[in-house]
Amino acid sequence: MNGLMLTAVGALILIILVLVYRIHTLVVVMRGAKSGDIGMANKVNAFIFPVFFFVGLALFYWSYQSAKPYFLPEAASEHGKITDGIFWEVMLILLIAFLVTNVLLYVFPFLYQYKEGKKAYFYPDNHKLEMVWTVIPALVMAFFVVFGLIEWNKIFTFPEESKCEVIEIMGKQFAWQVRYPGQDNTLGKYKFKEIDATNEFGIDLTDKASFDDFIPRELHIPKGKPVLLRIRARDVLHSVFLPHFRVKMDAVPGMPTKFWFVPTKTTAEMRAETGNPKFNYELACTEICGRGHFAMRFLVVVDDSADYEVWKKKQNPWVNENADYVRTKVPGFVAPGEEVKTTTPVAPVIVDTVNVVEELTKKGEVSLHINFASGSSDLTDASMPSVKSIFEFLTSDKKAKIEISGHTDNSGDAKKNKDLSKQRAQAIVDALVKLGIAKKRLEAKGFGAEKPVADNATEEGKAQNRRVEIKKI
Amino acid sequence: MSAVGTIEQAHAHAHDDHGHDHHELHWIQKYVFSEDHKVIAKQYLFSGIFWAIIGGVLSLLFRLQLGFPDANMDWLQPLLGGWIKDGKLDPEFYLALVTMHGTIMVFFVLTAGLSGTFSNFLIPLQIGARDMASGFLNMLSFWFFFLSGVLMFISLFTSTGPAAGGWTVYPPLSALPQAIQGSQSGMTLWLLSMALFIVSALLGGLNYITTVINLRTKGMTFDRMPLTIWAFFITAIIGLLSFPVLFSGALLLIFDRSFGTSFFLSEIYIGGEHLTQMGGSPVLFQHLFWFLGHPEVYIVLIPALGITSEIIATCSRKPIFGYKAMIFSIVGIAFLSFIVWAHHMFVTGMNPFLGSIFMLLTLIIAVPSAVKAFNYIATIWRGNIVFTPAMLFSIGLVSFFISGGLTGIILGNAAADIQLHDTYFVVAHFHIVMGTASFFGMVAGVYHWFPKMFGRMMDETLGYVHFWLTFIGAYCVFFPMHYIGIAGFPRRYYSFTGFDAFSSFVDLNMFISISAIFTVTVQFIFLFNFFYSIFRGRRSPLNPWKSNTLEWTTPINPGHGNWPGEIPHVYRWSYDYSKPGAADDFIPQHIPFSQTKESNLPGEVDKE
Repeated sequence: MNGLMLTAVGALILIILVLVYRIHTLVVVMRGAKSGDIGMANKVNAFIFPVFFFVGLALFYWSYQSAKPYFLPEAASEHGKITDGIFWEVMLILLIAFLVTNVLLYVFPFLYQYKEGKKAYFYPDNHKLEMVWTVIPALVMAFFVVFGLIEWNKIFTFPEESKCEVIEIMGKQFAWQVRYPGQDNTLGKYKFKEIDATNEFGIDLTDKASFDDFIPRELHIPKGKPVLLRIRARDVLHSVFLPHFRVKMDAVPGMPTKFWFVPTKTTAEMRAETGNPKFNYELACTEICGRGHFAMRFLVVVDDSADYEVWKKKQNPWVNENADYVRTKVPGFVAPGEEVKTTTPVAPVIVDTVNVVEELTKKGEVSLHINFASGSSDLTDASMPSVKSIFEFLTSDKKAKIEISGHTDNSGDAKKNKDLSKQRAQAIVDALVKLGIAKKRLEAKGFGAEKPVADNATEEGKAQNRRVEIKKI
Repeated sequence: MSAVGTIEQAHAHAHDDHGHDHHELHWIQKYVFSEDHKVIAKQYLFSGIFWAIIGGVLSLLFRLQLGFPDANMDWLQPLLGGWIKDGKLDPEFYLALVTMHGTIMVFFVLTAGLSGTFSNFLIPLQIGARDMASGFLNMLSFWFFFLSGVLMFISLFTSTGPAAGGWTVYPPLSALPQAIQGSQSGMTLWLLSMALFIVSALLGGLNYITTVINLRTKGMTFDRMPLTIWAFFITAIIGLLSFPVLFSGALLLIFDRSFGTSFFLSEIYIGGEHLTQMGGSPVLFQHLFWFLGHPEVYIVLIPALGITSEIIATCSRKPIFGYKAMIFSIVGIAFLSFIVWAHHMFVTGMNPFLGSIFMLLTLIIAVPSAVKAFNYIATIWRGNIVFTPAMLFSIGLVSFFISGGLTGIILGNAAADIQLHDTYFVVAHFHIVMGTASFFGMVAGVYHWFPKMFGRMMDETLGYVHFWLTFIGAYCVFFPMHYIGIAGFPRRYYSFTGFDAFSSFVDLNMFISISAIFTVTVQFIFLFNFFYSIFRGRRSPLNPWKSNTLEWTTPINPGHGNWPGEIPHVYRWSYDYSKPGAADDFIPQHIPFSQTKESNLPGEVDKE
């Protein structure tokens, strides 16, 4: 129907064009205007040029004034203030060049329009004049180059690492993750081969330096101290863009990059300055990376140095949050404060390696082994990556509704198991709602031990059965 | 000189021998697989128009998404089918639209449509040759382009969509089918299509260069050639040197995609899987791509500058100011265009020292560019300007060339580029300086040489309306993008609502979209004028613009071989407009100095 409408409208426009044109031709014939004459039309065109320019210039000024409030606030980094300065200074000089050339370009057509009997001025060249307008731009460019280079070299002269806050930032489809070196101020090594669904950074657990590294869900940086970002990507190109700090650097798989800057305003100061109590610094991606390119937002918080230290102290090292996982790589690993069950054999833990988003998109269902504190429905931190990957799916497919069903093994009371599995499913729903997913898109169910997928006689089978199933509905 | 003369005579002789055969050409040889440069030029022109419509419509589709992010797009379902789900445009298809718009406009419209049309049409006519050096290669060139177009067109309809990794097709995104749907069969077709396109460009370029060097008529020395020919000549050389590099990049990408090599891939974990490819570098591809990609900007722009040089001189009734400086600046720009490519890569992780070198070289380009702009302005100064539609579009081009060129100086400044890289500021910059400016050059060329192509005139009033609406529309589309870019909005974003920093400018994006719809719509005035005039336009006089160049000495509808009799000889440059003492305000190139004693300058005598 719509296609028909469109075609009809198109045809109508075409018919009107043809009619107007026919009428115009007839009028020309009626008037007896001779073709090939240079008449009124030439004068009109000549007149519109300066009008276009001056009206355009007024609109330029007006639109600039009304767009200005929406430009980013003043740079919140040391180098940013200088690059902004370069931008506006160069812009000013260019504006002068723009005005001079355009005044001439738009006024000359009016001044030198065709006049009967007039002859144009035969003026093939003037070497002096040409020399002038070669040398002047050359000098201006030389000036730009010198000042630009000085600043460029400053930006890319890196301070000693010991004086910086070194933070690793990793881009993947479609999220950012950050890793801090922890107490020892040394980031643990990583190996690309170690990357899996839990160990998203590929942290090398044979390197002791990685045992205090932590992976928070926000990027915190201290005001007034050099921050060195170690940037990498694990699938396709991404680009770290911190608009308020004038920071941009590609994240390249297989080729780590870096960028350093000094934040100059805390989030709180920026809130006060912009008068926006909800102001937040953000991290975006500026290298096309696929479907979710536009949604790789990561929250950035600038603290003053005291707050920053407090925040850092509160962070729990990644290995402690993923003790079960770490034990699969480092047998006998015990996180501080963890109850050591030396007598009972450690229940096998299944680490999910499936790509949740892909499975759900393709098959519409996936089975996950999400960790809960034993006998309770509290999500552990180790289970967050799985929850997050469900969240990623739900953000990538905005319309999808899912059913989350909990399953247990057959040990213990059947009724209790059923309730517990329902509560656990509900806990995941709650976590997702907290992340911003609409409640109506989620449904929690509990089946207890009713639907085993493996033999409950073995520990391995039991582990298989303790699972959460996600299904698209 | 004598050698050239002999070749020319031999050629003319050979032509005469076969003269009587031409009447018996089958229509397929005459209109489809033709070796006549004029027919091939028209084939390029019609293909260019076809692709421009497609490229334009694609841009409107993604502008709808950007301008009206909340609108229900179900009404587009008849056109887009499954790419509209629940009234929303698919985000991957949005990227595909952006990618295809860029590819089509840069390569199929502004390279093939512009160079292909006017180099083919004007080189033999303006240098006084019966045809291209090799009519057969010329024909092959078009049909390779046609085939390349067919593949690209098919890719639009594949179930997984056309290529979607941006027109720059950076790997790994373009190399990994699991990273984005567009990198499946769509990307394969893209690469095959581009490979054929490059073959076409090389065959065409070889022909242009050979023809200009070898087939100039007697007296047509290099320093008498019209600037159009200089521009096409230099453009062809740039293409010949840079396209093979893109070809190698495309080839290596095909290997990475299909044969498990790792030129551009290393340490990739995707879809829960560790890829085996190790040791490649994505940055290497960027170097290969931009080694063509940057000269490509000038492949697109220089022919347009050549065309406008000719039109501005003719319609101002003045010699082009600084003819030699114009040639040197084209040559200078062409040379520099090869050594500035990495300014597209300041923040890609490339060594910052390289960044400083490329910044220096990039800003040097501003000098010859400025010379060109000033020379245009000096040409219209004290002219006797006739505003034909072609002249209007040429002035429009100079305006865009200045506006867009100036912002390039900011982007070339590596330190300022950190913030602006991959934002709408870049989009605004290149759409003005390379997109719109070249487009205006192309349209100006069509208006100017339409009488020579079809023996009829286009309607001037419609031309004026078309110009002013397009000129205003194009500025309304691209000027506000600078503001959005200064505000930091990244390009290739499906939607900006996810970020606090980019949540402003909703109205401005809507305004840009409306302007884009308006601008594309008014192109139908041109299309109507164009097709109507082919059949019903006023008959053209022999030399409608009172121009000096040789093409206007051919019959109104030149046949195969262009001149029925002997090819005219050339005695002077093509810019003797309003020469003091001369009775008329133009003296065509084939008039000997001996016939214009009253206006000859000291030293101007025929050297026979």
